[in-house]
Amino acid sequence: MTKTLPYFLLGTSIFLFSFLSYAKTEKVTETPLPNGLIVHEYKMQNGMRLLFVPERSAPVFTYQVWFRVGSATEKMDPKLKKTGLAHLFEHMMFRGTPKVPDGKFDTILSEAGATGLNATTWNDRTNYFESLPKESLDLVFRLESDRMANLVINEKLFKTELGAVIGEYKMNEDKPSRVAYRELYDLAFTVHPYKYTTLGTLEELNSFTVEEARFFYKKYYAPNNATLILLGDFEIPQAIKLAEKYYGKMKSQEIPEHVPPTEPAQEKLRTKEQIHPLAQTDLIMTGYHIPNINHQDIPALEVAASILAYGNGSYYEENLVQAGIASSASCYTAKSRYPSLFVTSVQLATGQDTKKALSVIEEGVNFVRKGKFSSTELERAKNQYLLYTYSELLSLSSIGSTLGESLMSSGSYTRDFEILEAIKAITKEQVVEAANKYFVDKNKNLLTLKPKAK
Amino acid sequence: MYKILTLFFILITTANAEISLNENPNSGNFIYEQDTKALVTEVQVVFQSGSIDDPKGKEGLSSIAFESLLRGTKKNSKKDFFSKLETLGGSTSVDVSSNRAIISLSVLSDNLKPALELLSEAILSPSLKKEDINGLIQERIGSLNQELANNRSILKRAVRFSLYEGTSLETPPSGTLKSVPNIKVEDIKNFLDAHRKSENVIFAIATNHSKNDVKKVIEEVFGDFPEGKSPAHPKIDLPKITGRNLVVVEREGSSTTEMTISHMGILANDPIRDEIELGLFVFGEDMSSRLFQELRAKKGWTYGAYATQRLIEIPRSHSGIFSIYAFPQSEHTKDTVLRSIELYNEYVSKGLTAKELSFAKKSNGNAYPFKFASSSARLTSRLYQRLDGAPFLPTKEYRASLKKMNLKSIHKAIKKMHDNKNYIITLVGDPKQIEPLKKEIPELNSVRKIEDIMNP
Repeated sequence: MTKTLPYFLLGTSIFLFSFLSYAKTEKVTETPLPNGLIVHEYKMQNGMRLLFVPERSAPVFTYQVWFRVGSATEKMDPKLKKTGLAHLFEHMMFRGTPKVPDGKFDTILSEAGATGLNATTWNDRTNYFESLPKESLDLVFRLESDRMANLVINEKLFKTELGAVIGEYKMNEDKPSRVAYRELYDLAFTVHPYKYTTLGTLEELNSFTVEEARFFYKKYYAPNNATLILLGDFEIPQAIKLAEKYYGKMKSQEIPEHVPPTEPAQEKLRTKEQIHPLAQTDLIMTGYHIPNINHQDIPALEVAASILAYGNGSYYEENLVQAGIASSASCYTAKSRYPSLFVTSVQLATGQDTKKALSVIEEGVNFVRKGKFSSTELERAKNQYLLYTYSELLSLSSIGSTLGESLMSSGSYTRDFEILEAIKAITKEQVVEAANKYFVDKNKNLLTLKPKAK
Repeated sequence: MYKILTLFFILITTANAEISLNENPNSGNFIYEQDTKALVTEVQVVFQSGSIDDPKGKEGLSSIAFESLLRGTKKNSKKDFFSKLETLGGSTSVDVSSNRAIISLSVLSDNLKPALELLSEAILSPSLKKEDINGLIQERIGSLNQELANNRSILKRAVRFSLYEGTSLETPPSGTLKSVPNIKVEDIKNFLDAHRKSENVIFAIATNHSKNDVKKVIEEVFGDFPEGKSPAHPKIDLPKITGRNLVVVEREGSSTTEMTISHMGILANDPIRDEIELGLFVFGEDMSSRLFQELRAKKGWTYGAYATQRLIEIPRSHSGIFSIYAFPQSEHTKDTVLRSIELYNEYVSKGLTAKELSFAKKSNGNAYPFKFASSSARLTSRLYQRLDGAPFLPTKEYRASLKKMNLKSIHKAIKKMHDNKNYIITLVGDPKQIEPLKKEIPELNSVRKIEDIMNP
C-alpha cells in the first residue's frame, strides 16, 4: 500500500470556528485535501453554504452551484409526485431573466471566456458549473445569483425547452445500456423514488405545467438549499464580499425534508427480460440492494467492486472479457443519500451463451463471498480505488464535483475521503462479511436486455 | 586508476543508452509538465505510427499490435503483469488513431519508477503469445459487434468511409469485422519490429517529480529501445467530392437520426487555421453559436447541433474532416437537414457579422489561458504541436494574432476551406424519416445506401 500523508486525520481534527467571520457569513471549517489544497467552509446568514478552494497555479477559477434537489425529491413532493421536472428545470435555468434576456446567459459567459459551461441533474441533486478567467469572478456571481432568483418562466420558453428534453429522452431510448439501467432500477425498487429515472416518462414530461415549474423554482432554488463551490485563483475575502453582495439578500425558504417510503426488504430473486431493437447481444445487469453512502459497509463494497471489475487484473476482466465471453464488464457501488444498488453490467460478446456468462458472474460473487482472493489481490483492489480517487484531484472541476457529490449524498463534503481512509485500513474479513451480507439471491435483481429476434 | 574506471563505466552506460531525451518542441522526444500537487503521474509513450500504416485487408493491425504489448511479457504472464502494475496503483490503456499510438500509464506518483520498469518490460519484451493474441482479436471482434448497437459509431464509420474511400483512412483504427480476423501473430511481430524504434517514440509526462529525476528514470528503464527510424507513412491522395451526396445507413426503430454534413478539413499547421477556428466558433462550436441557437434553443428539434473538425478522428496532418453535426428527433430529420444546409450556405456566402467577430475574438482570447490551466492540458497542447505541427502560442502572442483578424480575412479563409457545393450528407436513422428527404435536398448529386457498415 502506498504511503500517503495522514491528511484526513488532520482535516477532521481542525474544525476551526474562526473568529474572523464576516458580518453575515460565518466560517465553519477548514479541511485539507489529500493533495494539500484546503477547503474553507463558510455559511451565510440565509443558510447558503460556501466552499472555497484557493489554487493559484493558473489565472482561472471554477464555479459550481449545487442544489439539494433532484428527481427523487420531486417524486416525494406531494404537490408534484412526478419525475422529470427537476431535469427540465435545469434546462430552463439557461433561458433568461429580466436583466439577462433569453439567450444572453450563454453568450455573456462565452464572451468572457467560459469553458465547461453546463449542468446536470441526478436523483438527489442538481448542479450548475463553468470555469472562467480570474477577471470574471464578479460577472459569474452576478449572473448565477440572478438566474437563481429572477428566472423568467413562461409558456413559450417552457415548451421550447420541453422539446429539447424530449429529444434527450429519445436519444437515450436509442441506447440499449440506458434502457437496461432504467429497467434494472424499475425492477429493484417497488416504492422508493429511485425506481424512476431522472428524465421521467414522455407522459410525465408532457403533463408538466408552467405553474408547477414556478412552484418548484421557488421552493427548491433557495439559498438554504444551495452550496457554492469556488475553486482556483481568487482571494477568500473577495469571494465572501461577492457572495454577500449577490446572494446575501435572498431569503431562506422552508425546505421540507421529504421522507421517502421505505423500500420493503426484497424476499426473493427478481428477474426480467427486455427486448431492444438496436441491441446486438445480450446485456446482463444485476443489482443488489445496499445501504446509503454513510453506512459503514460502503468501503467494503467499494473494495468488492474493485476486486471484481476495476482494472485489467480484476476478476471479471480476466474471466469474462479476456476469456472472450463478454465485450465489457463493470461494477459500481451507487453511493447515494438513500439505500441504492451494487450494480454489475456485462455486455456479452457475439455468439456467447448467456448462461455461461451468468455462471461466471456468480463465480465472481462467490470469489468475494468465500474470500478466495489473495492479500495481493486485496492490495491491488485498494490501490486501484486510490488511483481513481486521486485522479479526481487533478483538475479544479473534478475536485469540485467530488466535494459536491459527497456533500449532496452524505451531508459531508469529505465523505469520499473518509471512505478512502477506511479502504486503506480495510481487512479481507470485512470485505467477505459485507459480500455475504448483501450478495445473496433474495437481495438480487437480474435484468437481461436482448436483441430483437432476426 | 579511479578516473579510468569511472570513464569506463560512463562509456558502458552511454553505449547501452539508446534513448537520449530532448525537448525540442518540433522534433524532440520528451515533453514534461510539472504539477507539484499531483498524487497521480500520467505518462504517455507515443509512437508516430497508426492505422494509416495498416496494410490493405488487415485494417486494425496497428491497433491490435500496440494493444498486444499489454498482454504479458517474457518475464511476467498477462495475469502477473496486471497484478503487479495494478498493485502499484497503476493503470494502462492503449489509444491508436490514424497517425499515432499512445500507450498511457496512470500511477500513484510514489510508485512511478517500478511502474515505468513494468511498462518498459511490456513495450520492449512483450510475450506475444499466440493464445493471448487470439484472445485480443476475439475481444476486438466483440467490441466491433457492439459498435453496431450505437448509431453514433455507425455514423462516424459511414462519414469516414464516404470521404476517404479507397485510402487507408477509410477505416477507423479498430478495423472491421472482415479485416480483424485476418491478422496473424507474425503480422503483429513484423509491425512492431518496424515501428518500435527509438526515433519513432516520444515520452510525454505530467508529474510531481522533478524533470531531471524523470528524465533519468526514463533513460534508464527504456535504455534498450531498438535504434532507428520507422518506415514513412504511405502517401494519401485525398479523394475529390463532387456535388451534394447523400449517404444513408438505415436503422429501423431509431428515435433520433444521427446527421452530418461533411467535407475535408484543414491542416493543423495551415496559416489560416486560427481564422477557420474563429469562424467555426461562431457557426457551431459553442452554445451561443448559430447552429445551436437555431436548431436547439429556438426550434428544439435536436438536443445538440455543432460544426467542428473534431467529430471524427482524422489526423490534422492529413486534412481532417469538417462536419456539421446534429442528432434530431426522428420526426425533425427533414427540417434539421434542410435548415442546416441553409445555414451553411449563408455562412459560406456571407461570413461573419461585425458583432459576431467582436464576440468571438473576446471569447477565444479570454478562454485561451485554459490551455495552460492544468499540467495535462499543457501536455496535450504540446504533444499536438509536436505531432501535427499545430502551433501552441503563448497567450500574449495568440491574442495579438486575434487582433489582426478582420471580417475580410476571415471570410477569405472560410471561402478557401469551406465548400457549400460539394459535400456528403450522412444520415443514420429510421428509413421512414429519411426517405421523404431525398426529394427535398436541393441539387442532390447521388444517393448511396450502405447495407453493411462493417464491409461497406
